[in-house]
Amino acid sequence: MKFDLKLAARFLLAGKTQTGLIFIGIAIGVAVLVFLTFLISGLGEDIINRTIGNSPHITITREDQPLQFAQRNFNGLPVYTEDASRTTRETIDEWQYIVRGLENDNRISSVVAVADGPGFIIRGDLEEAIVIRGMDLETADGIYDISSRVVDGSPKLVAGAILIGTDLAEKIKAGPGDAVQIRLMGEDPESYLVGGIFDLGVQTLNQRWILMNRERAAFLLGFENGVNVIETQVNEVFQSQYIAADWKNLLPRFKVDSWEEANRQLLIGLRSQESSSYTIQFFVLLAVTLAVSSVLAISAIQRAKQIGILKAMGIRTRRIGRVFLLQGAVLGFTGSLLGSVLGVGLLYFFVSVSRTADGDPIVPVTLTVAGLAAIVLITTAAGTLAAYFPARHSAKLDPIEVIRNG
Amino acid sequence: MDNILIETKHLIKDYTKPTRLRVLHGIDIQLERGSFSSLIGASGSGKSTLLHVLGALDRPTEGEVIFDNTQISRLTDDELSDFRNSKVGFIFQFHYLLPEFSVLENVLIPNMIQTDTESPEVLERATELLEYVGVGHILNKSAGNISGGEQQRTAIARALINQPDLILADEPTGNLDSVNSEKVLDLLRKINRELNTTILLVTHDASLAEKTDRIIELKDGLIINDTLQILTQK
Ligand SMILES: Nc1ncnc2c1ncn2[C@@H]1O[C@H](COP(=O)(O)OP(=O)(O)OP(=O)(O)O)[C@@H](O)[C@H]1O
Ligand SMILES: [Mg+2]
Repeated sequence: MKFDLKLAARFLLAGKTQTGLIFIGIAIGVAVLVFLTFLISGLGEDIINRTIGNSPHITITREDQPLQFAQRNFNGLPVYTEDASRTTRETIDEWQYIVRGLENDNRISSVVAVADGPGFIIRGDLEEAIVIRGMDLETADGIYDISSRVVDGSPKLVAGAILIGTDLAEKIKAGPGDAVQIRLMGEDPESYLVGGIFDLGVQTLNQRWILMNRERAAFLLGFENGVNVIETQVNEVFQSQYIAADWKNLLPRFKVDSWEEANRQLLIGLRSQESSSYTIQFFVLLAVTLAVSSVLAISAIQRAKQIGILKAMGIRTRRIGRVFLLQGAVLGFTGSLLGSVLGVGLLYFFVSVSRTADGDPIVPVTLTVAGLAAIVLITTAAGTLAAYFPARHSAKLDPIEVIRNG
Repeated sequence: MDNILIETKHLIKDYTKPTRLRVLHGIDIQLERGSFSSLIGASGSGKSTLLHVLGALDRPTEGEVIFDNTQISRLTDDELSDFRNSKVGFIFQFHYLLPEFSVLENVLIPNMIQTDTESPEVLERATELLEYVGVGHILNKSAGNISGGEQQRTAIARALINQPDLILADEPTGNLDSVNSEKVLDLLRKINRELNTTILLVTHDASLAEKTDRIIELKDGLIINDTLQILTQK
């Protein structure tokens, strides 16, 4: 093997221009491969992270009740309208058991029980529609990371205090320490104190969400001590639909929704982006393979004399084949190493020039050693494979042919 | 019959491409251990073909080749490779050094094929052999950059590195001038004497053949003359 490797190396080094060109060719191909692969996977991860990084992956509610309608008078005519006050989802009275069960599932990383319902916030003559969210801050941080995102005031949910979003605060012109009123549809308003302002990074949440103590929200919404939504995050985001299905089996009377089902379109988009990445990878590898193959085929013909004499001196047929496979492997390996370095350099350059106004990279690219190693490995394998036909050609060569013809 | 290193029995060789052509018509030959013979004959008489079959580079169509009591035509391809590597040293008209390697490395190649290592003993033997054949001063030159005579000397050293029993030389002086031809022949003679290596030399040059112990003449694939020489030694 040592001698085979030496032969392979010498044959490669002897054809400097040829080897140099193919080496650079592989390096460029692999650099493009590394650049695009990590860029595209970075984009995908970024989109997924934005979508579900701070939102529930699996949500458990009771099956929706049919909508309730109420007859009302409209300009003297009887009309049926939706009775919002009666279409809130039913509460989950046994929620503590379910939460405990979810917490024991090691595929699930965070569980938050929420008392959730619609209402209005009033300050002076300003009134806004809101979503009341009652939850325990410690558990809620597992998904929403609220404590560290309170930008003004204090992240505490003592009874009577609420947290509101930045956009809502602006609309109703309220800040920490200000008194506001909250009312449900068709009920009397109650007074609360704004304890803090949060910025969850999502406009609709910053506009609509009112965070309060869970018991208080349950009481306000008339749930007694119940909640009506259980939200979870899982460790493997792409397992969410299977985990959801498992829990649906355990809780047949409940609705168990995964983010994957809710974001079908997004996932289809991501998947096609991913497959375009595979297409690019495939064609780059194909080009590398063909290039290596043609260069080695030429080299095999150029080295016919050497091969013939080596055979006359007793090298076994298989070893000659191996010398050419090794040449392919060495080309693939060294070329892809250089290509990886170039590709990583290109990524650093790209990330450093494309930044948002805040100086954050537009596309956060995460380089993984495993990913790079896989690319080097696959390219080495492609190079070896490419050497197959030249190797077979050389192995078959009849030494007498060479010796006779000078 | 222990004194016979290699013998053939009714050796027939046909080429099938482009058309069927019988080149050797039944050769019976015996080479004694330590002998130095020459093989002569007109171009196309089958000298190279016989040499290749003797050296296990090619298989006979019929008949047997027996080397040291082994029927080599029965060996597998890999066994033939190993046989060539350890028992036979070839020297060709076109020296066929590997230009990618140095002079010293070229000499080491047959041994590297066998052992895959460069032991200090073999390195020393290679150096000695290069001294012996008279190119000790160009050890580290690239084999592509030395003269024809130097290349042939290197090829001879290479043929000797695995201490073969038999050296088969096919017109080794064909590309050399008469001075260098003489030197190569003297060298082969020295190897034959000092290392007791059996040598079969194909040549067109009658004056070179005169200097060997035995002259075998081929014509149309048959041995027509086989003369032992009484040599006058200096
Ligand atoms: N591979 C082959 N296929 C077909 N015919 C061949 C082959 N090799 C040799 N021959 C033919 O066999 C005959 C003997 O060839 P060989 O090379 O043994 O002769 P030679 O005595 O060595 O001649 P020279 O002195 O020119 O080297 C020639 O007619 C040659 O054309
Ligand atoms: Mg010949």
